[in-house]
Amino acid sequence: MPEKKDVAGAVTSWVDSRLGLSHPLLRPVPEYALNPFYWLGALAVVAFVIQGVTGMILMLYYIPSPTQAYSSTQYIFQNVSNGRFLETVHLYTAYAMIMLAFMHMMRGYFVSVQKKPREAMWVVGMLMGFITLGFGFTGYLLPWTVVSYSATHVGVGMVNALPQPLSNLLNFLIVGSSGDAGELLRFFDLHVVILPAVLLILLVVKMYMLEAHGVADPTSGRTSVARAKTIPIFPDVTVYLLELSLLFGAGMLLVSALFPLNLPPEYSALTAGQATPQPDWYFLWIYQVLKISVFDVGGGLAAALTVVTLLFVVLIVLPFIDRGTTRDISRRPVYITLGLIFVGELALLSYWGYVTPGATIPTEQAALVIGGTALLIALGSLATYRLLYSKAKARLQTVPAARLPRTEARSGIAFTALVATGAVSIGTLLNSVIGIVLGDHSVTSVALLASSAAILALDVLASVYLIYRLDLRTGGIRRRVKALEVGWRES
Amino acid sequence: MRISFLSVQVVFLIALQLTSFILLWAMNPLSQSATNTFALYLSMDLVAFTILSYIYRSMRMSREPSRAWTSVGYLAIVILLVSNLTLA
Repeated sequence: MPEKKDVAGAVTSWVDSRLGLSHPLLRPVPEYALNPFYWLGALAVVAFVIQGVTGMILMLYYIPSPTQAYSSTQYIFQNVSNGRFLETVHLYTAYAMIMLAFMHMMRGYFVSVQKKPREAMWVVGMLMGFITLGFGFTGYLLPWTVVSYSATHVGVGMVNALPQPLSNLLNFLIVGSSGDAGELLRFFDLHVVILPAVLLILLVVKMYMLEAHGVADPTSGRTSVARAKTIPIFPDVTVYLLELSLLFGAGMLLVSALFPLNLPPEYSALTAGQATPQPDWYFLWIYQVLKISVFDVGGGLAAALTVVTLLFVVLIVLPFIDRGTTRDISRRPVYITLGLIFVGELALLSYWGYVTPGATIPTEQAALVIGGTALLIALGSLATYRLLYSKAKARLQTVPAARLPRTEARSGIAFTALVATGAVSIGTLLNSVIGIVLGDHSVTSVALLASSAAILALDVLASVYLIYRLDLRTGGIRRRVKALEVGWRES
Repeated sequence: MRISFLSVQVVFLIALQLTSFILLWAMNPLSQSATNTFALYLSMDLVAFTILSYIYRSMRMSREPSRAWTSVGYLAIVILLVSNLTLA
């Protein structure tokens, strides 16, 4: 008697038999990888697809010319069916794509996926990250608003100060020699043709390497790919990815409906003076570095940009710098601390840049705020490691190693969020203290001081509590005190 | 014939998706309030489809779908529905 199938099973079998999706072209995935943190890159690709679909619709109406760019954007807002909504979704998924790519990179860094044999994957991933930032930079100019034009031209002006041959290459790619019209056309071409094409090629290369190397083992080494139960890519992993993508899409739609985009005024010689050039949030940290007064002097801009370029170069060649073989987070205190400082400083500089548009930052103040934040994060991280090691030694002698639970990743996220919040509050605290000492006794300054002190105190209390509750056998945070429930399952 | 709770959920979710799909086509796409309703209904559709996929995957992997996750999904649908009514 033939086996009876349900409707969903019959549909899956039909699709599979026609398209051959379960054919072993793609290797199965270990069960532990059914975790959203393993799919941040995939979600960035989903965001890219949404960008592609919404971008193609917008492209039907947009005209890349300085005289018509703004009016065609305005036309989309006012006359195209759900035009404003499409623009909003396009922008917010771009933000999500950048954030997801950053989270994907930082997760990879913290769990050392860049180590042998995945060095090339890391390099390709970094290049994809730069392309993603390139999307943001080129797309920002297209509506031709006063804000986008001013900020983009500050960025374009910096190209000349970049180290060679980067400066010449970027000048050739984005500036050209035919004024505003040629520049807008180049930005448009880069945004809709060249960057997507390069990104797709890099994506194929990265997917090929992922298929060759497979998903990385968990960091503790307690569960290896060889021993883990695997799941076929179709339909199980595909359906899991579909779930994540649908939720992501629903979230994007919701945010776009709740916070619709408003079109700023058009760029013109008259309106240009009214706007303070400020880049989008993902470039705010560079903007803030460039506002430090030490970089105002001759050659200062070139020095600052060289530092930023070097940082990017270090990120690209990271697998060849961090040559250690261990991937266990508990055995990499220096690299983990450096990663936390990096995340903390980015969060701090971005926030600082956002609240001080156009203001020059005194060098001493910047040194104190940036240096103080780095020092405090380093001390906090090293103290945590010391505490963890002493607790771990006592426990691991008596308790057998348990299977790596998902709670470890959640704990990592909780601590990273605490570090980022702590960095911003430390920076704000130092900034307002310096302001008050220098004579700024305004209500805003005092309110900032009080609120940052309060947030920092809460942050420290939360960190102490979470460290106290951390279970070193599992990497998860145990819940014991009902009043201070942290909300996830005990493993 | 015994109808399981899961079957009821699946029928409900499909009906919900069909209803919102029909509603999506019957809107004036140029006003902001209609755009909000469009976006919220579409979000609701996606969440409903997510729950369906989750139930299907759980059954395929011989697991009981987690009541906590499905409840969170239904709560999200209710919130989206109420927001829709408020914004409309």
